[in-house]
Amino acid sequence: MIMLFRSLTFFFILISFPAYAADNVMENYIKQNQLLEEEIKLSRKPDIYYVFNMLEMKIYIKARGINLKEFSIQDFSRWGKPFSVNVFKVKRKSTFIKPARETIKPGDEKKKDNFELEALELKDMPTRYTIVFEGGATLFIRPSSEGFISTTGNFFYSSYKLLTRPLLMVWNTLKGKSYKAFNIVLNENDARAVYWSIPEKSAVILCL
Amino acid sequence: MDGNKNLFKFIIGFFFIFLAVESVGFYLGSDEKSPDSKTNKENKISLNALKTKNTALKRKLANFNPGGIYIVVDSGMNRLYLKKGNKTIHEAVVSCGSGNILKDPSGKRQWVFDTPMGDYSVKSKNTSPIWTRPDWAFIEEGEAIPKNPKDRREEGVLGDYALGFGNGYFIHGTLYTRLLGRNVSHGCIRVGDKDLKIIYDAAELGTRIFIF
Repeated sequence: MIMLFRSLTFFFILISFPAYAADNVMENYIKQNQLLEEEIKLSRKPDIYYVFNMLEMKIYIKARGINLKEFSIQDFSRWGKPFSVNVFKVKRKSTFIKPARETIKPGDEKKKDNFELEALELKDMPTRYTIVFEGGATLFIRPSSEGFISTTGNFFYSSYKLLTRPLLMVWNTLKGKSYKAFNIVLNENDARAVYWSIPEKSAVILCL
Repeated sequence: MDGNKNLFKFIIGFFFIFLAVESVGFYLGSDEKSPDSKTNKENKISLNALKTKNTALKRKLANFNPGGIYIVVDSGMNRLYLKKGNKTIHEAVVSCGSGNILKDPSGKRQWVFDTPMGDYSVKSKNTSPIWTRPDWAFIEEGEAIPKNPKDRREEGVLGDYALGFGNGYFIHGTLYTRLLGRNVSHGCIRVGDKDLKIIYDAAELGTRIFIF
């Protein structure tokens, strides 16, 4: 009796696994095709666009279908109604302390005896920020927890979002709007580079 | 005493309402259903059809690739890559825009010294280029803007070659080679002499320049 039960279980696993795997393969192809269709639309324009591909856990900076640079995503989570592929336009980048530009005082360079480089550089970019898209969706980027400061920061952020996101979700649903939020964890240098590279009004493809 | 009881009831009531709203929010927010699993079954597209479409789309996207040599500039890392297909032929340390702001003392004009990001192409190629100093170059130095255009010309500051990519922006040489790798320019891309020669020889008019 036990042998029969085991055999039946094994048989069902055998026949159900290929069906599940085939479904997954098909789903991936559908997503890939949607992504390619959106990329083709963006590649027609002389602009740089960005692909956040969660299937591959990569961020790509692209133009005309060419991969200019890529970053590895360490972790990803989503909040709100699911979708496969969607194109968003960057409305603004929001951060606690915005990197400040130096204002040159005319004639000041001549007076200086020692040259001191005053410039906005990659190291001045934030590692924890939100990209707000047109339509209200938000993408929060934060560094991986390394050391006391980033671990504490990540703890407070997670607690804050845990409380506010459900409230925002209910509020937007009541208003008839969809609410979408995404969290991405990158290493510190990549987080800075992504902040630097994504200007306002640029197109971002999100593939989940 | 009654006041304390009412306050306690209010806090408890508020807490339960808050919990209820949070629960509803969690339920709505953590929808895990993938929209594709439905579409997939509803449309009953065959795997072969999907594969064929995938190959066709990939080919279509690849057609946008300019082909031949192109230039990629990473303005944050201050690196320039000369590329052909997916291969990097040459890599150079450069200086991109400082991001600083200069205001005209009259208050009418302002310049932001960023290297422009986007998809450009080589529009001009010059040897022994002469720099025509724009208004900001005089304002920055605290000098009067000359009326005679000849007084704007300055030789030797742009190196041996310059590749123009529009709106007064160039890939050119520099006297400040010790600052290569730092964001120090007024928006142009400064390159060391040896690298500049390689880039100048490889790039033709129309060669694409991608800056991010």
